[in-house]
Order: sequence, then structure tokens, then C-alpha cells
Amino acid sequence: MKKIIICIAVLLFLSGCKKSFFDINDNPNDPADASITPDLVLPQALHETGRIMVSDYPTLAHWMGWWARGGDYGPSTESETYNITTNFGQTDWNDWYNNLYDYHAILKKTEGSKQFFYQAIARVMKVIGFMHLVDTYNNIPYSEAFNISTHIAPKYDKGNLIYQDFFSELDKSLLLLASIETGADLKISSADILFHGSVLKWRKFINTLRLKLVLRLSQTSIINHATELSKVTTDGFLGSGETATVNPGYGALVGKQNPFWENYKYTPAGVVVDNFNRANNFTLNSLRTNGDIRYQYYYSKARTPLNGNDYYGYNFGENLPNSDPYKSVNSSDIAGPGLVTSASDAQWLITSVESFFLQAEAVQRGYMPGNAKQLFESGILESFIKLKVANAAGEAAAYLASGSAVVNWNLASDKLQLILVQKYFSTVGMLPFEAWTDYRRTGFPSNIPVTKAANPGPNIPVRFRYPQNEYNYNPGNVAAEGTISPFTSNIFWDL
Amino acid sequence: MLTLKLTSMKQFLLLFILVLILPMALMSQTISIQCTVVDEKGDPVPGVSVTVKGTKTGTSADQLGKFNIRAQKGDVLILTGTSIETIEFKIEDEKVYTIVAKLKAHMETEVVVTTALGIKRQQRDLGYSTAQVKSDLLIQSAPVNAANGLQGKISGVNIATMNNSVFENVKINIRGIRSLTGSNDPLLVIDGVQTSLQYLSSLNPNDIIDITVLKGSSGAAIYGPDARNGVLLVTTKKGTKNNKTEVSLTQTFQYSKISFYPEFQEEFGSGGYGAYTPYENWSWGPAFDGSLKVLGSPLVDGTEQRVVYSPTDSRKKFFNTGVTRQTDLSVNSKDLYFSLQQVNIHGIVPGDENKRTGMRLNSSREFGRFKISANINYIRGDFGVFDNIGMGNYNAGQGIGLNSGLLNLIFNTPAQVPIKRYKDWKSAPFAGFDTYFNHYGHNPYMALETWRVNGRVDDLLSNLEMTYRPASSLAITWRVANTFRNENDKNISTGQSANAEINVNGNTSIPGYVSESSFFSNRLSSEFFGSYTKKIKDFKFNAIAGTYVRQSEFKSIGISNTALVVPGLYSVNNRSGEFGGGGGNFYSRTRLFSLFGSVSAGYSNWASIEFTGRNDKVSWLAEGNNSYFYPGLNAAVVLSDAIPRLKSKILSYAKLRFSWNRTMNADLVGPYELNATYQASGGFPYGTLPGYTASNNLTNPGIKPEKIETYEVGTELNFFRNKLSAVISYFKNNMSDQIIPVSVSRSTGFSTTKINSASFYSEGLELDITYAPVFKNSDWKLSFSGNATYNKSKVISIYPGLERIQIGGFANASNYAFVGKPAMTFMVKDYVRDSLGRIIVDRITGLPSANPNLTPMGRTAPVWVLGLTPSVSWKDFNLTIVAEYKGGHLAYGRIGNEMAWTGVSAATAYNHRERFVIPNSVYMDPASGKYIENKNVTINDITDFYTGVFRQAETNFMYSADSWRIREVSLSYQFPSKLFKRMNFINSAGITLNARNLFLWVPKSNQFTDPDFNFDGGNSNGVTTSSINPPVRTMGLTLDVKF
Repeated sequence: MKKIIICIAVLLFLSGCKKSFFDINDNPNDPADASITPDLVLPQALHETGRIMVSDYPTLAHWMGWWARGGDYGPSTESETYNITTNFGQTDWNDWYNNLYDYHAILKKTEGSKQFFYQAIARVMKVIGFMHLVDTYNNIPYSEAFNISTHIAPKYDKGNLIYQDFFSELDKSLLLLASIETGADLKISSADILFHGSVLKWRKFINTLRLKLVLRLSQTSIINHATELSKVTTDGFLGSGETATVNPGYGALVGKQNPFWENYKYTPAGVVVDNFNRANNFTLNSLRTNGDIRYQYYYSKARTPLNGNDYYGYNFGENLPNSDPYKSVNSSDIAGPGLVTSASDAQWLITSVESFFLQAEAVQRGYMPGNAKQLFESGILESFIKLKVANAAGEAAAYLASGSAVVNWNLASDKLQLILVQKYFSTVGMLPFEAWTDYRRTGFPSNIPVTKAANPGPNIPVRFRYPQNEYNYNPGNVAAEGTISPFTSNIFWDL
Repeated sequence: MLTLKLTSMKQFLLLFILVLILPMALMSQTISIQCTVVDEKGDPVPGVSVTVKGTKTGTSADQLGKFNIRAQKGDVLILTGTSIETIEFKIEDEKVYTIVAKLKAHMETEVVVTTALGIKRQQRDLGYSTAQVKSDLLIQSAPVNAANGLQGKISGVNIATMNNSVFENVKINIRGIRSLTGSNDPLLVIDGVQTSLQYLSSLNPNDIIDITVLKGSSGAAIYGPDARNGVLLVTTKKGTKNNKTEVSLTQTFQYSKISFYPEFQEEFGSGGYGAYTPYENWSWGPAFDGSLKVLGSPLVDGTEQRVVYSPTDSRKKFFNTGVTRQTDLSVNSKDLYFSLQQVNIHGIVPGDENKRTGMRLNSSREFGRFKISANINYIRGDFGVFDNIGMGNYNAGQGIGLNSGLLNLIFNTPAQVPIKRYKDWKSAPFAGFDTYFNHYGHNPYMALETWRVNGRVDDLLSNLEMTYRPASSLAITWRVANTFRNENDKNISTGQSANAEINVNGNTSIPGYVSESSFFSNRLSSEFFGSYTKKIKDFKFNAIAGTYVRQSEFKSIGISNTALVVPGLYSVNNRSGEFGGGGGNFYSRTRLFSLFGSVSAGYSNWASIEFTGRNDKVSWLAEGNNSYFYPGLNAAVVLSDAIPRLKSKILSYAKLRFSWNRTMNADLVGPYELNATYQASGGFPYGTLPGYTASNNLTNPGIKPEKIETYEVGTELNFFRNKLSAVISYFKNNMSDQIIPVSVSRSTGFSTTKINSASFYSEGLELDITYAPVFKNSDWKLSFSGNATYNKSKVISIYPGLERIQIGGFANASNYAFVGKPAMTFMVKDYVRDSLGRIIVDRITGLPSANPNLTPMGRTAPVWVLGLTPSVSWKDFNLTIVAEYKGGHLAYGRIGNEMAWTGVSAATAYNHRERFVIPNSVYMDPASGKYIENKNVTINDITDFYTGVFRQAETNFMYSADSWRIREVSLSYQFPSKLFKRMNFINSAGITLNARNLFLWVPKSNQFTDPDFNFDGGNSNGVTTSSINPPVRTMGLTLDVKF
């Protein structure tokens, strides 16, 4: 009798402890790290970079005088008084680090392999993301980022040192592109939704990015600008029609729309998405005063115009009386037909327009040889083309000939100001982050009106405060950065 | 039926049963007689000594009241025991007898308690504390959820109702928490079967005989890791031992009315910055003046709505009176118990409804040495409620952040608005989607009908238990159990289309959608154990050894369609375009295998000691970390028996006990967490192009189980011939290697990870007193019981370089585990203050600013919990009251923030909205750079202050969570039995008036809600939001008739 029981107990013990009994812990729902190859990560990462660049900074378009709040809404106290808190802009921080980790993962996955193309792309894209972070927060986690097993609370690196590393990252990317082996980078042409595996276009992209970074540092002397620009390859910069865009296959399906369209235009069912962001009177009126028809391309006609006002905007921060008849439907949305035409449009990362103005500025500053005036005027023409203005060349020429102070090269006493002001009017709504950065760096356009909100801060913020997440989850390192003022704690390049 | 499901996993067990039964059946050809000693209720009486009269033959009954003895027809058995009156029992022709023993009166000291594995033990032998609530006290206020019936009745058990909704969700904590971020739910064991705690709310409380609570983690030695937070042992009715059949019919009606509404200001109406706006959601307008004012925008035909500009109480009347109906039928007959229950709850939120229909069939039968019992419980729940999350998602998508919960729609309604007028929102004037006055918020009645979730939950709990007793000293039990839950939910938005021809409020269409989700969970377990008892002179030994195998499966499928075409048809097929809605599935499976055992020794009925040990092996940890052993021991000495001269007229019983044990668990790690995964995101795949992003969560693959070490000492003292009893316990739990999911800096590439790191302790004192009767004569009986719990805890460490982790709440006000502070502590955004704690304001604007560094405020769980239960009977009337106090902790009312935004809270009418100097404030003197007292710089704008920095400084919405409440009142009357003498079909009848949460007293600082409420079921406490309905008092009537 007892023997039987013992036998049974032993039997139970043995069968229960069979290894296979417990070997059921492979995830049946999501692919594991080991089974993911770089071509499965890159398309999403590139799309996400594009999405962040046009989705996460609408407030900057407001501060910069491009957009304003529509008549249906009450004041957004935080952004309209400039009194931003640590809860402001948290998504920007989170989204970038989230996105950058995917590029980091590509680098880890391709480490020691011959997939140099993937490695080059990942390095370049990391520079873009970290550039946005430094330009927003100055000192940020960089060298200790993305290594959770050793750095659960990453320390903050100095913004200027991070910038210097950007240049070496770009150098490494060029070297990697030079050593690509045919067939090593599996599926690169489909996975690279930016340039479909074109080395030439990637070089131009890197050159343009380098140019952008050099100009960011125009107020500092931490690099020799001309020396840095001498590393630009002979391929040159992004030229006419060469706006860098991603398009995984956007279309009018839920969750698959062009991000700009998705945020500011229609749902796939054709329902209006955005009643909040509307034309800002400063830009709208300036364009009209300057005889610049591009306002019809940056902004849409009011859905229900009042008093024949097809294009109608608001002043930033103004609290209109409730009797004001102009509601959101009576005003111009900011996803004008020149910016986006359908849910399947490709999404821009760096525009050709921007490329020309960057070149003009660099030449004007003496950082590189060239003809600043010609580049300036090409930038204007490129803007008309990019906006799909009918008879773009003719209209651009007419605008150039209009004699308006914002186009007249010869009359302009301050050519840099002219370039930056025109850049501002030639890229309305495209990348508010660039406008804010140029404004902080150069102060142009100098007449951007400040908010009309009651009790505003002293000036347009020059940076964001660190996100509350960092105060909660990385408190020691963020506290070491001291008290941050959005009005006076400048980014290192903003002198 | 049941066993078929089991075969794939447990074939060998079936085989075993066959192998076991055959030889036993042969062996049972013996002349010994088998007896079971039971009390009058049919519960076994263990430990009874048996002798054959006039011989030296003798034995004693085991824990299940069973004994075998050799005897002949005509012999008389003499049964004696400390708890029973002596019995002389004559042997007839039969070989099997059930002997009914009469329990001695006032033998509280010989209480037999159900312990782990369903083994009955004498309370005097236990080295750890248990408490029991019996049926009558449990259901005296006719709770729908049995957990509500436990509230306030046992020390150390903190039961908080989380929300006043039709689901009556509760959170149960026994002796504080043992995991910072993991489950602190006690284990629910129904008739010996381990089940998820969620089933407690599905159980019919009327089926329950009693609930025994094992407060410490000593149950974990036998029940495994889930028992570390204590065990609720529920025993359901099993049928009678005699041939009598009793049918019982009970009907309850209960009504619920709001007992506490947030404090509103009634001075100011619609508008902003003191100016009137007819269509504002804000109440920042001018003071009420009783004039007739236009409300909302005029209709397209020019019709204007005019209302008197004075406050109304319409916002409070928005909520309905809740109605709960319960109908119970049960049949109790030989070896069989059957019950049916229907519960129908209409909540205070218009349209919210929850129904529960349950059926139970319990049956057990003995065949000589073999006993088999089977329990089947089927419960179906059907509910239809407002989909608060659906509305929140829509509003968030619209960029309208603060319209989250239902209450928030009320907060967006100024006081002069006669909200009840818009109830019939489809036809009443100015109530429609296009004509409602509010341009920034919806008609709440419209919202309630637009976003709905309807669901159905089917639970099937079944178990089969077989016990074989080859000898009176040995019992072998096999218990299999299978628990199914299937839940099907349908969330819809009916959608609302704005009609441009009549729209005057600027509303844009609300899209319709349907989302179907299905959840399936199954737990299959098999428990096999043997128990062996041996008596040698004054020593009594018992050994238990067993195994436990469990497999848990979970599966969910969801699919949704956001492009409905034909209105009113909520199907994923009714769509335009390609299928692009959300959808997904998830499956998980885990296994646990355990070996457990215990050895106990008792001496002379006054000393006992027990050693326990258990080894678990689990499937969801990495090999090498997934098998772990944990030991325990407990001991008890009945001093009053060991040293008899201690007994006196005053002291009748004294016991000391001690227990120590360790438990380990890895609950916080789910299946498949050890490997980093990737997910499709960003709309991918686009056609044939896939795209994945790295998951933001990663668990350290080397993660190990967390450890809990528990000490407990206690004493049980009875006085005055056991009329007054006191149970006092002290416990200390040391938690180490805690698995914590830490939110980490996003710059790590992750948002959360899990590590073994934190440690904390919790200790407490508990006191239970029963004084029964305090007074008694032929008509009157007065008795009293009470309990008190003191609990404190302290976080010792979190992680090197990390001194805190967020547990639950909002970014600016949340529960945290913070080193050196109790678990949990509120960390809240406060104003910037100087070194003296004075608020620093701007020298010009008079405005303070918010400090981004969160300030620790105080503990979130009560320090003290008291329960007082006086009871008085007069003739056939009985009045029992349960009063409860919780105190020493804080709570946070998110609604304070939301109400400040719209300007409806009482706080926003401070100083009649005249500019004022912030009390106790300072500003910096530019000359000296020092802070000087602010006597004259007033806030420059009241509206901006309250809608701005006042809301950022969430300390404004912290309040003392202290409360006293009358938890239950029950006044019952039992009709005199002589009334029914002539009617031969009714045996007894009674009527009970009952009330729950009749009164709630809170300090003045609490202008928000019941501090027991909490917004989620996690380890946070005291965080309430606008999706939580206001608290109610429930009053009702129960009629019961027995046939």
C-alpha cells in the first residue's frame, strides 16, 4: 500500500518536472528580438521620424506666427502665455527617444555584419533626432542613453559636446556608405522608404544635414564652420525637387494616412480633424501685403466663408469676445493645398526649399563659396514649385520682380535678415521647429508678434523645460541641470 | 464531463485513481465499523475519543471526524471530547454510521476552524491567526458582493469599495501590502479550490456557510504563492446529513441615493473672467442676480432660451435613485444543495444596469471509505453601462482634455442650467446635439446614450473531490478543479451627426463605432495529497504531503470598426472602406507545479508545533530561477491548560502562538516577458511593407522570485467563562527582492522595466474583541464585537540610484513608494515655497508658481482601521450595527482640479472672487534678495489663478482621508414560529430592514468624495476621478421564508 503511494508520488514528481512541461514561454503573440532583422525596423523608424517632425511641434507654429487658435476654442493657457510647465512637450521627448532607440537597435543588430548601408542610415537618423532634442533641451542623456542594463538613470551630456559628436557620426556614415557591399544590405531598397537605397541621395541628405548643423552653430565658435563644410561631398545638397520624403504607402485608411494630413486635415471617412489650428493673421496678412500669393497654398479657404472672407485668420493668444462671429468653420485651416493634397502624400523631412536657403545663408556668411543671391532666388522659386503653384516659374518671377522688401536682394541692407525672413515665408507650416530654431539663433523675422494672452511670460520661450517624466524617473540627473527657465536658459548655440 | 477535459494533462492521475481503488475495494472486506462524528449542522467533529464500553478497545476520530473501530452488534461506543457532550452509541447491523454529537455550550475555545486544504483543526492548535464570519453576519445587510458583507467585521482586513457603480468592485487587503507593485489580493479558495479573487463578486453570498480568513502568509506553505496575501476560505452549503429538506426563498429590495456630493459654489454662473457668456462651459461668469438671461446660442429661427440666473440643484438631481432586487431560492436536502439567484441592479447613473443570475449544485456522498463530492457553480452576468472611456477617447481626440468622466460633464454645467430639462435630449427644446447650450461640452444625457458598453460574463466553476481512507490514520485526497470565464463586451458609439441647417453650438459630428472584444480564461488544477495521523501516548503527530499542478490560460480577441454606414447597426461588417479598424489577439499560458508538506506534533492537547515546506516550479521564469523552496513553522501553547492554576473566574482560557514563514512568488512577471519583443506600429504594414518598433517594456531575463518573511506572535484570551474574548496579534512582514516595474527615463529606450530590487516592511497590531452576551435575560440580549488594526510600513530601498517609483495616479499627484516613507506615499506638486514653508509669489502679479519637484505629502493607506459591531435582540427582533473608522491617511481628489478649471468648486468662490493676497505668502525683495512677507500683493487675475497655477499645485486637492461610517444597519424580525404551526408548509419567516453606508462622516477638508474610493484596482489608494460616481447610501428590505 505505502509502496504504491510512494511510487505515485515519485511518478508525479518526475512527470511534473519534465523540462518540456515548463518549456512553454515562447511568446506566441509578438516577434522576439532575435527574429527581427533591420529591414523590419527601418521603415517604421523612418516613418516615425517624419511623423514626429510634423506632429509634435504645432505650438511652435503658433509661437512663430504661422498658426493660431481657431474661434471655437478657449485659450490654451500654457502655450499662449508662454508659461510652459514641465508637462509641456513631454511627448516630444518621449517620441524622439522612442524613435531613436529603434535606430539604435538597427546599429546593435548590424554590429559586426556587413550591412553598412543600414548602419549608415541609422547613424544619420540618430543625428536628426538628437539634434531636435539638444535644440529643445540643451543638455540631454546621450552617451549613457539606450543601455538600460548599465544605465537605468542616464546622465546628461553637454549639448555642445553632443553637437561635436554629430559631425563625427556624419563622417562615419559617409565612410560606411563608401564601403557598401552589393547584396549585403538585404531588402534595403524597400526598407529605405526615404531614398530606396540610393547612395547618391543619402550623400546629398548628409551634406544638407551637415549644412544645417553648421548653421545652427553660427553664433558659436566651437567648430570652424568653413572647415566643417569642406567635408561636404561633391554630390552637393538636396536640389530642386529633391525634398527628402518618406512614404511607406500612405493612403486614406485608418492609421495609414500621411501624418500631416492625419493631424490637420481629414479622417479617412472625410471628417474634419482639426478645428483648432488656423491661419495666423501675422503670416496671412504679411503674405498678402507682400503680394505673395502663397498664402492660398499654405492655408485653405474657409469651409463656410463669412462676409466674403475666403481666407481668415486669428491673432495668436487673442481671447475673442464670445460674440465674435468667426468660428473655426469660417476661417482658414493650416493644411493648405500647397502643403498636402491627399492622404497618400509623402511626408517631408528636409525640404528642397530649406536646402536652398541654408546654402544661401552659408554662402552669405562666408562659410562656403557660391552665389548667395542666386541661391536665395532659387529658394523662392523652389518654394513656388514645392507648393505646386500653377505656373510656378512665372508666379515666382513676378513675386521676385514685385520689389517687396522681403524679396529685393539688392535693396536689402542686411542680406542675412533677408534670407531668413524669406526662408520663413517660403516654408510656412512645413517645419515649425526650423523656424523656431532660426528665430532663436538669429532673431529673424524680428517682427513676429508676441502673444495677446493676458499675463504672458517676458518673451517667446527659448527652450522647453525638461519633461516631468525626467523629474519623476531620472530625478538626480535632471536636478543636476539646475533650475530651468524657458525664457532665459538658452540652448548653448543661442548666444 | 469534467474529467474528459483533464485527460490531456492529467491522464496519469486518473490511472492512479483506478490503481488505488481496486486494491482498496478488496481490502475493505473487514469487520471494522466506520463512523463519522458530526455536529448538529453536519460539520465533522475532529479529535473525539472513542472506546467500546466495557473494553479497552479505543481510538480517536481524525480531523474529518472519522474513525474505524472493531466492534460487534450490540456494543456501545462511548464518545468523549472537549467540545462535545458525551455520547453513548449502540452498534446495530450497519457497518457505517454517522454519529451526531451535541456541541457543548460556550466552548469558544474548542472552535474548529477550516485551515489550508480544507483540513479542520482545533483553533487551540494553530500557531497563526484566523478569523471567521458566519453566514448570518455576512449577509445581514443583503450585500450583492460577499466582500461587502465582510467590511468592518475582521481586524486586519481592509476592504474598500472602489466606485459606486453597478459592479460594486472592491479592493481587499489583509494586513497591509506585501508587494509594492504586484498583486496584494488575498487568495480566494472556494470549497478547497484556489480561484481568482474576481469570483468573489460573482458568488451568491447566500450560498456561503462561512468565510474563514487566514490573515498571515502561513497559508502559503500549503496553498502556494497566491496565499501570501492571506486566504479567504469560502465554504458553501453542502446539503444536510439527515433526510430533512429545507426550501428557502428570499427577496430583497434596496434603494441607493447619493449621500455625499462634491461641494459646488453657488455664487457665479456661465462665463469667463466675470463676463457672462450664454454658451460657456465655464462658471467664471458674473455673480448670480436672479435676472432672466439668455442661455446658449439662439436657434436658427431666432428662438432664445431664457433661464433665471440663479443656482439650481439640478446638477445633483441628475443622478437617479439606484434600485437593487435580489431573489434567492435554495434547496437544502440530504447530500445535496441547490440554489438559484437573480440580482438586478439599476445604478444611479441613468441607464446603467447589471444583472446576475447564478446557479449552484453541490453534492457529496460517502461510500464506506470513499467520499466523493462535486460542486458546480454557473453564473451569468449581463451589463449595460455608460462607456466613460469611449467618451474620454473621443474628447481626447478632439483636444478637449478635461471632459473625461461623467461627473465632468456635470462640472461643465454652470449652476443656473436646469440640466434635468434636457433629459429627453432627442426631442426636448434646446437639448439636442445641435441645439444644446454648451459649446464646449455635451448634454450628459446625450453622452450617456451615445457611448455604451454592453457585456456578458459567463463563469463556470466546477470541482470534483475524492477522498479515500485506507485506514483511520490515513486519508488520501484528489481534487481537480476547472474554472472558466468567458466575457464578451461590445463597446459602441452610436455617433451623432451635426446638422448644419440647425446647428448653433458648433458641434461637429461624433463618429460611430463598434468594438467587439472577447476574453477567455481557464484555470485547471489538480491537487493530490495524503494526510497521516499517529498518536503515541500524549503525543499526536500529523504529516501531510502533496502536489499541486496548475495550468492557466488566457485568450483575448478584439476587433473594431470605426466606419459605420447604416445607422444603428453595430457590426464590423457594416463599414465603408477596407477593414482598417483596430484588432488584435493575445494568448498566454502558464504552468505551476508544487510539492508541499507539513509535519506537526502536539502534546497533551496544549502544545503544538508545525513545520511546513513548499517547492514551486513555474514556467514563466528562466531556467535556474524558476524553482524555489520556502519553509515555515508555527507553534501554539494553551497556557491555561498547561498551567491549570492560571484558570480563574476571570481568566478562562489563554493561548500564546508564534509563527514564522517565508514565501516566494513571481506573479509580477507575466508569461513571455523575458525576451524583448517588437510590435507593428505606425499603421504598418503598408501593403507588403512591414514595420516594427521595439517594445517599450523589458523585463530583466535574470529576474528571480520576490521574498516575503513573516513573523507573527499572538495571544487569545477568554474571560468570564468565555463571555469576553480577545485576540491580539502582532505581525511583521519583511519584503525583499521585490520585483518592481520601474518607470525609467525614456532615454534608456524603454519606459518601464522590471527588476528585483526594492525592499520594505510592514508591521501591525490587531485586536478582536467579542463580548457576548454583555447582558441577557429572557427578552433581551446585548452583545458586542469590535476590532482594531494598526498598520505601518516603510520602504527601505528601491534601486541603487533610484529612491522612488510611481505606483498609480496622475503625473502631478500620485502614489509613490519612496525610500524612508510608508508604502505608499502621496507625492504631489506643490507651490514653490521658501525655507519656512511660505508660498513664494511674484512681486508684481501676486501669483505663486508650481514646483516641478514633487513634494511627499503622507501615507495613502490607513494607519488605523476600527470596526465596531454592537448587536441587540429583544424577543424576535434583532438590531446589529457595523460602524467603521479608517484614518491617518490622505487622499487626492482629481475632481478638485477639474472643478477648478470650470470654476464650479466651492474653493473657486473664495473671497467672492475678489482679488486677494495668498495667505502665508512671501515675495522676493529685489533690493535685498530676501523673501519678505506678502501683505498687499494680490493675485492679479482670479480666473487665471484658479484655472492655472492653482490646478498645477495639486496639493490644493489633497485632503485627510479619515472617515467614520455606519457601514451596516440591520433590523430583523423573525415571525414567531407558532404562527406557522397550523400551516404545515412554512417553517419560518423573517423580515429585515437593512442599510449600507447609512452615514459617512468626513473632515471639512474633504469636499470631494468617499475617501475609500480609488480610480483603479492596483496598489494605489485614495485617488479619485470624475469617472467615479458620488457615494450613496443603500437602504432596503429583505423577506425570507423557509419551507
